[in-house]
Amino acid sequence: MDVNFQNVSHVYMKKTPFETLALKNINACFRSSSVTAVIGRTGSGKSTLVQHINGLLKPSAGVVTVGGHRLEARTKRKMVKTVRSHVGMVFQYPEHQLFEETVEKDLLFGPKNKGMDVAEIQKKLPELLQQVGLSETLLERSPFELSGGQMRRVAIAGVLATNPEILILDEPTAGLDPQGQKEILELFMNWQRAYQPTTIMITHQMEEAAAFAEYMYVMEDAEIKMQGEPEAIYAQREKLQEMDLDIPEQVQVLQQIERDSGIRFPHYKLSPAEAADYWEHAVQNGDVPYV
Amino acid sequence: MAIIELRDLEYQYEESDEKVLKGLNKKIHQGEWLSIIGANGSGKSTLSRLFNGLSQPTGGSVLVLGKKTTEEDSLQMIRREVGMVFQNPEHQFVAPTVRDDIAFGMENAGVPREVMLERIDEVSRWVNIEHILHMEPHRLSGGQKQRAAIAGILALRPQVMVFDESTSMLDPNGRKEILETMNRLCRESGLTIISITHYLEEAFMSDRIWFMKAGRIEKDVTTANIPDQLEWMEAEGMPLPYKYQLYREAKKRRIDIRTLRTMVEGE
Repeated sequence: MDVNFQNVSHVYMKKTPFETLALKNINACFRSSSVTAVIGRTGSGKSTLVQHINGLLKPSAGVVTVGGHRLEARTKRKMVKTVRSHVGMVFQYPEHQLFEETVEKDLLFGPKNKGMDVAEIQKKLPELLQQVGLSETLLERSPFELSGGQMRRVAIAGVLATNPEILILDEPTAGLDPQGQKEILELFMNWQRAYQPTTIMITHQMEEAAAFAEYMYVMEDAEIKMQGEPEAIYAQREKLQEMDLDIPEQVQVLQQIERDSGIRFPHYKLSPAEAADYWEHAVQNGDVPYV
Repeated sequence: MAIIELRDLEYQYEESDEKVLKGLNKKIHQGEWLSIIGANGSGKSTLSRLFNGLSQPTGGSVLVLGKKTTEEDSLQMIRREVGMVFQNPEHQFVAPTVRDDIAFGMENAGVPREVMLERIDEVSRWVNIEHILHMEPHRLSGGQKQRAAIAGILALRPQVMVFDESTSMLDPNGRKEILETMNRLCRESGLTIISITHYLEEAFMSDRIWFMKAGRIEKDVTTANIPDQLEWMEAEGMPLPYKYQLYREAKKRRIDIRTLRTMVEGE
C-alpha cells in the first residue's frame, strides 16, 4: 500500500499565540513494501509527519493518500478509522502502553479493536511470540512481571498481531543497550522479509537507517531538507554536519579509508569481513592507488 | 590514598538467594576516569549505588576517603564528595528554572549566598549552560538537561562523580555533549569519574575499564592498549564499534589498511 504526501502542511494550536508550523509543504512518497527512514533531530517534525498517516493528525493543508484513501483537513472521522485499520504504529517506549492482565490478552487487544477474527489470531500467537524472540510460555504471564526488554517485545508483537499493511516505527530502539537495539532492529528486518509491509521508521540514529532503510528523508525545521538512497545522503557530509546529524560510524570509517587510499567500496553496508575481503581483492588487482 | 576502596564487598537483594556482588576488592584512584561495563544483571548498577551509600553493602565495605559508607557520621561527607548523575534527565529537577535548581542543592548544603552566586557562574561555565540558566528545565533538550543536572552536583564541589548510564537516553548529539563535559571535568579539573555504560566507545575514552560479569570484576584493564582488549570483548559478546571489527578482520587476513591502523592504534 503506497503512502503519498502532497503539499502537506500542519499548524499546531492555530489562531493562538502558540501557533507553530510543524510541517511545511511536505511532498513525500513511501512505496508499497519498501522501508523508508525519516531522520531528524528532536523537534524537526518527523513525528508530526507520521502521525498524519494513521490520521492521528489531519493536514491543515494538502492531501495525504494512504492506498486509495484521501486524508485532508475536512476528512470525516469514519474514513480516518478505515485508514487506521491498515496502519500499525509502534510508539516510542511502547512497553508503557501494556495494560492487560496477561500477555495473551494484551496481544489480542489490537486485533479485537480492529474487528479481526480473534480465534484465528489466537492460534498464531505462539508463532508470533517466537518471531519477536519470546517463548510461548509467556502467554499466561502478566506483562508486568517481564523484564524491560521482554515488555518491549510484547508491545511490538501486539502491533504486529494485526499484520498491518503499513508499519510505522517511532524510534523503536530508544533507551535500549546496543545489543538490545540490534536485536529489535533484526526482528523488524525479519518481519519485513516475511510480510513486506510498507515500513516507515523514525529515528535519529543514522546507523539504524543505514542498516534497514532503502530510502531516506532528512527533516529539519518542519521541512524535508534531503532525500534519497542512504548512499547518496551520506555523500553530502557537509550538509549533514550543518544539520548536526552524524554519519554512521561504519560509513565514516569506510569513507575515510576511501579518501586515504583511493579505493572505492561498492556500498557502505559491507560487513567488516566483506570490507576486508573487498580490500584484499582490490589490492591484488591493483585497484588501491595509494597503499 | 585511594579515593574509593572496595573491601570484600558483597551485595544481596532481600528477595533473592544469589549474591549480586561477590566479594569485590578494588581501589579507585584520585583523578582517574574509570568505566564499568557488563551485561544487564552483571551487578554494575548495583555497585554504582554503593559508592555514596545510596545502598549499603550486605557484606564487606565501601570506603570513601578512608571512611566506611556504613558509618552514620561519615555518610553526609560521603554524599557530598560523591555526586551521582542518573540515567533519566527528567527525574532530576525540583526547581522552576535551571539557576534555581543549581541553587537548591547548595541551599540544602548550607552554602552562603555570595558563594552560591559565584559557584553558579563557575559551574555553568564548566558545563556550558550560561545561556540557559533562566530557562525551565522541561524546555531543555536531553543533553542540556543532563548538563544542568551535572552543574547542580558540581556546585557542591564533589571529588568524585558517578555517571550511571547518563548518556543512554540521549540522542547522539546529547551524548556527545555529555562525553565532552565528562572529559573536560576529568582532564582539566582533576575530578575522579566513574561511568557505568553500555557503550564501548565511551569506555575507550576513559583510563581504565572494569568488566563485570555475574557479580565479579572479571577484567580490570587500562585503555592504553585497546587493540589487546578487542579479542576478549568480542568473545564476551560486546558489540565492537565497526572500526575495531574491521581492524580485526584485516589482522586475520594479514592485510594492512593504514587508515584503520592509525584510527585504532593511534599515531
